[in-house]
Amino acid sequence: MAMFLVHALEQGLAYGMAALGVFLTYRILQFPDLTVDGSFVTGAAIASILILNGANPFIALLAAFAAGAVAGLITGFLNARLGVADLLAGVLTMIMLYSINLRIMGRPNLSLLRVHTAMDAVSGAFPTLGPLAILTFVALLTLAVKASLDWFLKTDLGFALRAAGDSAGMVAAYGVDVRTVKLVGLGLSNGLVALSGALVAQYGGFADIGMGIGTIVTGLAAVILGGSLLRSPRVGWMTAAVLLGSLVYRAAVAVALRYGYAVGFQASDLKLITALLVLAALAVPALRARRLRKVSAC
Amino acid sequence: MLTLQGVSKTFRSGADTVEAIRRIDLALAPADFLTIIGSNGAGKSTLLNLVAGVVPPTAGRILLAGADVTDLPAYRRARRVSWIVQNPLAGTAPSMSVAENLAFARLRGRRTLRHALSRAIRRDLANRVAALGIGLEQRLNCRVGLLSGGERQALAVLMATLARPEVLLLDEHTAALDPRNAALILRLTCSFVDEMQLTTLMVTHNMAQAIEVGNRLVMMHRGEILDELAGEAKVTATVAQLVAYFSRRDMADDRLLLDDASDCAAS
Repeated sequence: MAMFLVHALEQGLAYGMAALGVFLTYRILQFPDLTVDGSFVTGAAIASILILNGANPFIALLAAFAAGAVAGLITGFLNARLGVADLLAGVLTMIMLYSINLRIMGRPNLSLLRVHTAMDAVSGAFPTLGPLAILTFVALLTLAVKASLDWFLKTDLGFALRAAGDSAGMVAAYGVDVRTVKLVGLGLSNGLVALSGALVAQYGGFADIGMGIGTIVTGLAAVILGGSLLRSPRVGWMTAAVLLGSLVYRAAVAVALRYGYAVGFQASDLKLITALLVLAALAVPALRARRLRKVSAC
Repeated sequence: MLTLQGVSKTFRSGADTVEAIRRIDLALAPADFLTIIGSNGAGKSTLLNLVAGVVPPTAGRILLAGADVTDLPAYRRARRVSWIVQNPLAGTAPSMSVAENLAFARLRGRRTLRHALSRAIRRDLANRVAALGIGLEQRLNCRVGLLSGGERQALAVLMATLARPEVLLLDEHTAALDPRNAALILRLTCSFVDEMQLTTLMVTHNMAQAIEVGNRLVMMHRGEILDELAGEAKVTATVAQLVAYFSRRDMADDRLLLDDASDCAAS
């Protein structure tokens, strides 16, 4: 039972980095970026192939971040320079990444069970922590990423990003090129998503071409869930809320997978249920507004 | 300080073309404060957008302190040209705090990885906000989305003048406010303009305002500057004269006339 919770925490944190990436585009930049479904796999693919070829598993994480950032820059280029609409730019890059990811991996599935991953390295290095070694490592890494993102959002460039998402027409008046800001935001966001993919691959022991499907939706689930649990205009609290949302979501998923059979759920129903949850959260403001209108009309 | 040479702007949409600005020549000396009045569709806002770089001219040249800026996009002109629009929502970032908005404005496009809102910067900004005299210094951490329209526009005025621009553009920036707030914003604007000796262009529908503030007044119609009042002629001008001027040329529209009946004297 205790290990069941530990695993849920580990996954919540590992996927939490992807949720931070989605938060950066969806909430801060107001850019619905679907690239993430592809860049998550890119991160997993790059890290796996590097490790299988004998690279250091921690270096593989960094390489995954860089590859994801490039994917984000491509979406940014399509949107900001070529004028492709935001949703379509993300979808196009995502589809391109499907082929590219297969090229990187060579086949649709790579197993990491026989090689030395970051998880093996951490468990081996801190045997005293026992089964908590991996949780500690994932937690420290995720919190370091969160702290870096908080710091970035408080810098000059971070302020430009936040203002651009908030009031696109206004930033030019203060000397900021919206296109540059979008490139930076999309690059950083997809870097985080790919880092998350690389971590999840090493954690789960495999990379799969389909593992990124729904990254945008689970990311949104974490962002929305966290935002409703912890409301604050302060950046540090906002990112904390995203991680909290991811933890709660993964815990709920773990419970559903373990006990859901009792009410007839199958593991394959997960995406449907997640999407319905996000839909419900997105629909609440509209439904509430409708009810208010009815009241005021009386 | 600001020179427009034969500037034209034609908007095309399919087969339709609108000549919004027709060969305008204009020269402003440093610290000139020009007010612009005219009927709807006269091209007043387009003129400001051309100076800001938001729209590129179809013909002509725009010079800032002698340097040709005609081809510079708005974000690259922003270090030297500030502008405030009518809608207070559009000029500020609503989900950022008062202090964060000011810190962003203070940067003027500098994109480094330094802390945008250090303690020293916050203290400096707090003093400047207090000087507005509307109590905003108590609400530095308040989200701008929660401020009233008047408070937001006061913030926008401070943001636009924070880094002493060479040219300040005001596009009916008091028109969306109630009379009391409109008077407050105009008073704040004028005090900043006087203090920093800013070269200013102000579009207004309010003729009394156009006469009271600034040292030059131009009348626009259908993309052209028809007339200018300066010096003694502007000081002694009356709203009745301006109305007569526009009526004589059949250029008055309801808004132009109605505004004068209801507006209180500002500044």
